[in-house]
Amino acid sequence: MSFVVRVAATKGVLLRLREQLGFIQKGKEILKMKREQLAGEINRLLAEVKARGELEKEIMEAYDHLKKAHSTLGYQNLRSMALTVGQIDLSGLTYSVMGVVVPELRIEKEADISNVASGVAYEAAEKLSPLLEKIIRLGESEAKIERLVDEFMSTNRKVNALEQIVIPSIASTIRYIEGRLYEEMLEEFIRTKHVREAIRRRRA
Amino acid sequence: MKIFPLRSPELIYIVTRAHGLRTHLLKPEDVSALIKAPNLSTIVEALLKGDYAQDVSAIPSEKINAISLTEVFYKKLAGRFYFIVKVTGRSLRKFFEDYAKRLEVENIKRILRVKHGKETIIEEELIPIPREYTTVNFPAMIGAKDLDESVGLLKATMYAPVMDKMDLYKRYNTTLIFEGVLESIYFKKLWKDIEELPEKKDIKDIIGQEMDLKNIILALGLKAKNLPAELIEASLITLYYKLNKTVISSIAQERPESTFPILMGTYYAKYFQGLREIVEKNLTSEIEHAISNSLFNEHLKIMREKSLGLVFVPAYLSLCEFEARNMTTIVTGKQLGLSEEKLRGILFL
Repeated sequence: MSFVVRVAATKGVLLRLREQLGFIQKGKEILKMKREQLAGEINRLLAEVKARGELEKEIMEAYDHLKKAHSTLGYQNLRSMALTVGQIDLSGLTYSVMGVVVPELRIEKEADISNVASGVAYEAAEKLSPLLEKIIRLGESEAKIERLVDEFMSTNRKVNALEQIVIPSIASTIRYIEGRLYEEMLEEFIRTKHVREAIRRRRA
Repeated sequence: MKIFPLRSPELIYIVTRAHGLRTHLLKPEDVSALIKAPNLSTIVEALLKGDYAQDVSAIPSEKINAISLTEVFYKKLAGRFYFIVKVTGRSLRKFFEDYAKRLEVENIKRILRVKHGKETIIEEELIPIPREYTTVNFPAMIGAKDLDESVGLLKATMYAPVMDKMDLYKRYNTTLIFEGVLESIYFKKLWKDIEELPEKKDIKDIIGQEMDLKNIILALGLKAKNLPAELIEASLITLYYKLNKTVISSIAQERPESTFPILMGTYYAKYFQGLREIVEKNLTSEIEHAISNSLFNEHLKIMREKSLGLVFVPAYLSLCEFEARNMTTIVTGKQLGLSEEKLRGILFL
């Protein structure tokens, strides 16, 4: 579907529209490139997120160890042991992927589980602690995907709008002006011929 | 004809009382029935018919859960410990009073861990110890603003040496140091009391074995954590019965594959027979459970074989402790949906 914009059919307008069309087509190509880059990045991140199923299995396995520790020690004792675990330190940064600001989490200090006194609680902590990093990385990838997909869809809409509406409409406006200018030129040619014929007849 | 030495009336009295009290403990078939219970309500119903009835019935029905039941089990455990203290004659009382201090040690450990984590703890999370039997001001320790202040409150108690470890704690930022010192203080005090007891050989055997095995488990656990040698040494119990410092140090420092032969060369070899694989893999929780289970059965054996000796009483107290741990495991496991098979694997049977 295209719309013909009714504009003054002049050579000036035609030149301006041709310039505009060239600029929009370049823009479209750049947006297409951006879309491809975003798609590539999303695909890469999707591969990371696919590990979620495996991670969930690992978490359930770690929970089994935690259940064992909880049952063996009781809540009160396990809680006191859990409080000896050195807390994990995280810092949040952002960086840009094709103009999209995405989050990045950096683990400054890992959880220190060496203070856990009981063997069964230590074992549970040993299973859970490496999973924390994986959970953080997964969350980070999911947040990145969310933002990149938003941008991808917006870029896709822009490319489609340019391809389906803006470019065809400018092209048809150009065609219309070209037609009008051609007609005007023919009219002018015939009028000139008539005038010349009339002058020639008057002289004769 | 075998001649029995003349025994003091108070010794005979306490042993007789312990025999009577033993009948209040849950029997293996009771434990089996509880393991098979489909849910917590069934367990509560069963508990309402036994020794726990009074305390369990005092819990409002909406507050019945593994946490409140665990509080009941440990309240009962403290009650059993201090009942023995109460009915013991003067010459034996000191030992049982100090034996019961293991509950005090456990409470101090919990408070210090919580203070280390900069969190809060309420008195209900501790094992209830009657005021007259403790020199530690637990409410003040709980209310202390930080770990320094909490440790400072131990100054006037037998646990004062914990304060000397503050520098080491600050250097390594671990409460394991305090835990090692507390255990050492506890066992040293108990060891001193044993010297005053009649039939001290049997008592030394039961306490000494527990102490040594605890130390071995501690050493194996510390090895798994790759801690510096100074820290490992500070976190161990510094009293030995059938072991010595060199053996414990080598257990803590040798590679897991070399640990098993060392253990088999000790007095405690019988406890480690059949544990080669888990020792070589250094699966501390499994070692801990296997050893505790052997100790549980050893104490049952002592109760059968030395039923007239004073050693029957600490063996009974040890069984009380195992019962509290088993009951905690059963109710918590049931609440968490652990299968019967998994529960059996972590109980002392």
